[in-house]
Amino acid sequence: MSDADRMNFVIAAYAIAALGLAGMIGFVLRDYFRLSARLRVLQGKFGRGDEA
Amino acid sequence: MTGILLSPPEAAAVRSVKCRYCPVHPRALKRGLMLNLANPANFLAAAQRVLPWLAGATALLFAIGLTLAFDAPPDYQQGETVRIMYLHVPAAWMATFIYGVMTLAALGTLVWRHPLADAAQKAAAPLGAAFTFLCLTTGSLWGKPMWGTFWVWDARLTSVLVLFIIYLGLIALWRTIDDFGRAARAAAILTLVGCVNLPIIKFSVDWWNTLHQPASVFRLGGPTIAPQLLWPLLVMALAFTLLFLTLHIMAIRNEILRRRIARLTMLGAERLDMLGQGLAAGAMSR
Repeated sequence: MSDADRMNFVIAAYAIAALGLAGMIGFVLRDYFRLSARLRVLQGKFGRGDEA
Repeated sequence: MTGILLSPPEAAAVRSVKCRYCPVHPRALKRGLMLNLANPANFLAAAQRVLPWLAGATALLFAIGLTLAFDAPPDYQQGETVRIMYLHVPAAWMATFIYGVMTLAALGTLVWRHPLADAAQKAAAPLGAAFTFLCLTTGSLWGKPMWGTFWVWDARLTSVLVLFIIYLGLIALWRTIDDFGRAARAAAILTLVGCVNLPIIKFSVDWWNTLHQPASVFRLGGPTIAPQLLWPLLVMALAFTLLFLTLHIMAIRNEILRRRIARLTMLGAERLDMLGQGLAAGAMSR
């Protein structure tokens, strides 16, 4: 296997890692924004809910 | 962000309330940091302070680690392919480290009944699965040019695949059971059973004749890797660890928000029910 072929595997590994790590960050942030928006709506209706 | 986080007086008010889904014992809060963070309001406030620093440190370490990784000399046998090590090895370490964190959280749920232990356990499972997936795929891409194959059923690879399946099983278990408490106990038991796999992963390369190389960093005789290759690896490992800590804190925060939403939804349903009963009683009296 030539050096160029080997480098293709390195590039593929880094690309997959970048996508995976970005995906993890994206999922956590997406969850946060969705949940905080939903919580704001509910807190507007029912208060903070501490009395529950 | 500040709209859903609590000010100190509000946090103090929450501390005096015993919440239905994440019970907090106010007396225990004076005992120490871990117990203080057991209060979801305190945890949210602490997370808000810590997260920007953690995220900044993670980004900085990744920048340094990647610079060092691509600046390091190629291996005399593997050539440029050795650069996959800077992703594969930290991902593998994180896969087992996160399961260790989950095992501690499972003990926290079952033994110490720490109120946020189940949230920590639930939040860690998808992150662990993602790191294990990265470990398997980058390892596969390293295996093809080195071994001539993407996959072999040797002990190390198979035990890591089993770890990945356990992570998926735990995620599925959390999604299957609606009740937080029951789901937490079931997941904690499965996590404790699954932790048997951790020493198998670690020692598989010693116990069985495998294609995978034996330990070359954490071993009794010291690392066998040249320092020029070892330092970038350690910096990348630290970057991966900080990334996990950052994402884990964020995911626990999400879990707390999810439970507040569940509590408020229940409260809304109870109020609607009371309203319905009141209307029915009014109609009956008329």
